[in-house]
Amino acid sequence: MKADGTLSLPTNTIPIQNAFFSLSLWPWGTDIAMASAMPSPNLLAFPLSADGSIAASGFLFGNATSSGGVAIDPSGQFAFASDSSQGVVYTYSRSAAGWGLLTYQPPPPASPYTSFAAGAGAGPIVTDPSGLLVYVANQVDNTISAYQYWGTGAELFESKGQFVSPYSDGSPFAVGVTPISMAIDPNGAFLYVLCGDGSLRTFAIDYYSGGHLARIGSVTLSGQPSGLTVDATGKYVYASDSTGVSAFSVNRSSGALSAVLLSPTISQSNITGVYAEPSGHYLYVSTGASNIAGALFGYSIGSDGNLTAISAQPLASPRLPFSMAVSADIQ
Amino acid sequence: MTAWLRVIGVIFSLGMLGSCGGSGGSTRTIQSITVSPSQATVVAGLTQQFSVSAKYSDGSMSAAIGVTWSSQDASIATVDGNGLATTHVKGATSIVATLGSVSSSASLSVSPAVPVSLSISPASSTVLIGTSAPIKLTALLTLTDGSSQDVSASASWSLANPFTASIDGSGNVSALRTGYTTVSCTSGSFSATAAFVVIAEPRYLYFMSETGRLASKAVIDSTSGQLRMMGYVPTGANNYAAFHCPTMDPAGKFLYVGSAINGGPGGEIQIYNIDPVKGGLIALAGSPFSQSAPVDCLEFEPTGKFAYAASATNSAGQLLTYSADSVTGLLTLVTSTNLTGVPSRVAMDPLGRYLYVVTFSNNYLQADAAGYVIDSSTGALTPIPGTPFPLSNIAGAFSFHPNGNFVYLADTNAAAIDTYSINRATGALTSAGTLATCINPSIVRFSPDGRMAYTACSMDAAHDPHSASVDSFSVAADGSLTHLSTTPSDDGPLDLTVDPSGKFLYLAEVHPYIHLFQVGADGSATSGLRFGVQPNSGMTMAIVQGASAVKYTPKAAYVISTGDNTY
Repeated sequence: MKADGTLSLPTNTIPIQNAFFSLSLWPWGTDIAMASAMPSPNLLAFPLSADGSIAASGFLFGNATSSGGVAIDPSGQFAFASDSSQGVVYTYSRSAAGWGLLTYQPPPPASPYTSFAAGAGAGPIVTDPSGLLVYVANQVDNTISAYQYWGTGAELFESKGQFVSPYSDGSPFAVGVTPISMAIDPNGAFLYVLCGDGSLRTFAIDYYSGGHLARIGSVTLSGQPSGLTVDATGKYVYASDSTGVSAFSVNRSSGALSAVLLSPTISQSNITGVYAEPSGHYLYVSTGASNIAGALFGYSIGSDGNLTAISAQPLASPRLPFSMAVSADIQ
Repeated sequence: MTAWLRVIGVIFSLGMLGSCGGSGGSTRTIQSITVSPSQATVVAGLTQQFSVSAKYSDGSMSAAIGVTWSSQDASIATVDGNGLATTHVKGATSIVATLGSVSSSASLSVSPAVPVSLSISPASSTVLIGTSAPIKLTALLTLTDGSSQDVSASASWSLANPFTASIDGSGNVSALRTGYTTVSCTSGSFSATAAFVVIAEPRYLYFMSETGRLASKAVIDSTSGQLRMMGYVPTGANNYAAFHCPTMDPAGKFLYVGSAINGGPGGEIQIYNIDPVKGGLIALAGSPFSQSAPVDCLEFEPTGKFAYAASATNSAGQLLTYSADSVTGLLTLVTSTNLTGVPSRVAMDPLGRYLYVVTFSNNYLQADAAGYVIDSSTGALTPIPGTPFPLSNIAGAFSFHPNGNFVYLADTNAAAIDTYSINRATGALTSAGTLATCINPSIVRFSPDGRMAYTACSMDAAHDPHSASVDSFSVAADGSLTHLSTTPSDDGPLDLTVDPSGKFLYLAEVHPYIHLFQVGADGSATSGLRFGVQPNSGMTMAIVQGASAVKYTPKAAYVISTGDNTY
């Protein structure tokens, strides 16, 4: 990436097999991982060099029958992957040899185990910025499973009702419709869920209660939803649907979303995703379909949330771009 | 004025004229007038009062009324209608009084103006660390005529805190390290002081989480104060380690985390090398280092050669003295000093001269302040004469004011903050007042310039269980606190950390949040965002600072291209 947000063509395009999706990267981490719905091993991780280039070959691992998503935690040492067929989540750790499945040893006499219950159709998975909370969108039973993760072992401690005083409900939290995509506020205050009915729902996160989710609002998109992202400040949420890109400003106290009138409007069709990069300056929109050439468009994010096209659009033309992640340097 | 008063005034005026013009049928005339003093010498800028007496034809004398005053040379001195001459510049003039056809004069000699006071300009400076050019301070003598004279080159300059800044013979101050120092200047019999504050941009914040098993990191946005979590590193801490306290050496190269082992006599010290650019933490080989005694917060004297920590057990305690290797970061226990009670956190003099610790004895029915003089070359501690100093509050820990002249004790079990002034020559503590506060005030924290103090309370005075707050106070020159504001916070506040720019406060809570407070124009805290974090298990937080804010640069974009299975 260049400082102006434009993209130069990669020097190393890595051929991969299967239909990988769910690209996961902690912006200043050391690895990038992706998941595939194909039979296991269906997770693929690449170490990143200091300049951001990826190794020629990745490390294939994973235990899911059909992976629903993968997320690397903020320490860069752990990853979580959902299994959409089995409705469970696995924890992996990174070592010099690669990534390996972790086994949880509960207090005796219980037997050790390697997976943690989620819901039917366990799909997209996200961690909160601190690494304490893990959320899994269950796309069959239309719920979100919430876990606490304590950064040292396998255990994902599900935030069930009995453990989340003062609330009476607990994980899994009902969404009611298919959760397509999730994005977490960088401050950890809100979880945004893009739903199959075209709604963008906001949930308040309670860290004290182990990541309890309380639905606090919803807005409706114009078309079939496809992508969701939050800018680095947490002030703006961007969503895409079949009609284009929508922007919302966030009331930091209530979590309420208010539409930001984009000028000019962004009305691409066949959007596959929207991605806010971690420096907070740019937003990217990927488009494409099996029979339509893919493209990446870039926009600078204004202080009011408005988006201004970066010159020379599209920035790149990958075939059917499906998932995107951006790393950043800190100085 | 009412009509009656006006009438009385007229009558009175007529009476006066009568006394001048004659009465009882005889006419008395003025023969001469005399100005006194007849000559005067006055320093430029000061005044001289002249008066006039009149000699009458009947031989009587009295004060003359209705005299007109003038100065022969108004550039040297002017005179008002009452005979008050104001001198301006060196020279000589005559002050003339005229009454009717007679006049008289006095000679007024004006000598050069003389100094009356000394000041330093600017009176207060705040400089960002890394500023390469020295800050020029000017010593100004103010003279009697209101003029000023730059005596910077001839004045004698000194700094109270040589660790914060250095100064040359002309008043050029160079920032060395964040902190506060008083700049003193002497010229002749006059002296003046100014404040010099070195601030820094906040970059990274560290806190201990998950019962000390993780050291969590966050980037601080220097504009908004927003924390962006950067993940964590495993600490390898003993599962029974508790009361983790992260502090840094004065150079900011290493992070030290003291802790106690629950249920055991020992403690641990974690040591990390800090990457000042990217904020990374790299544990030193062997960290955490097992200790035979519990280790509280490690406080470094300003040279960084020695660190001190209280070591509290159930009924007694020690002061631990460590020598620090500035290259490797390793600590070596030099000596242990027995205390007469259970100590709280050590308070280190920002000037590096004294160390104080509150000790509790007699089943926590009595508290004293143990004070020590620090030998800067050996690190040895010598009790301050008069130590221990009895305290009125039986809880809390001292915190030093940035200028080194006061320590404050927040009564964490009650609702007061005590101020103690320090005799800088001896180190003796003297009570300087108590301020009633909200309930359970946390250790007092200060703005970099020392003008503001902050504490966090669990409840208000009415004991509302959901009335936790951050309270802001102004600090007077005599160290006294004045409450400015109460800002609501989350329940369960633990400890405040002031960022090195003084713009933000971060509140660690018993809940897994860090609460941001932004400092307003008047210095008061205003509530901002709160950030979900790994549960904070530390006693405080540590901030890495620098000359510039952290910058993010997009590095690489990664896209899965499912159309051709590339990436």
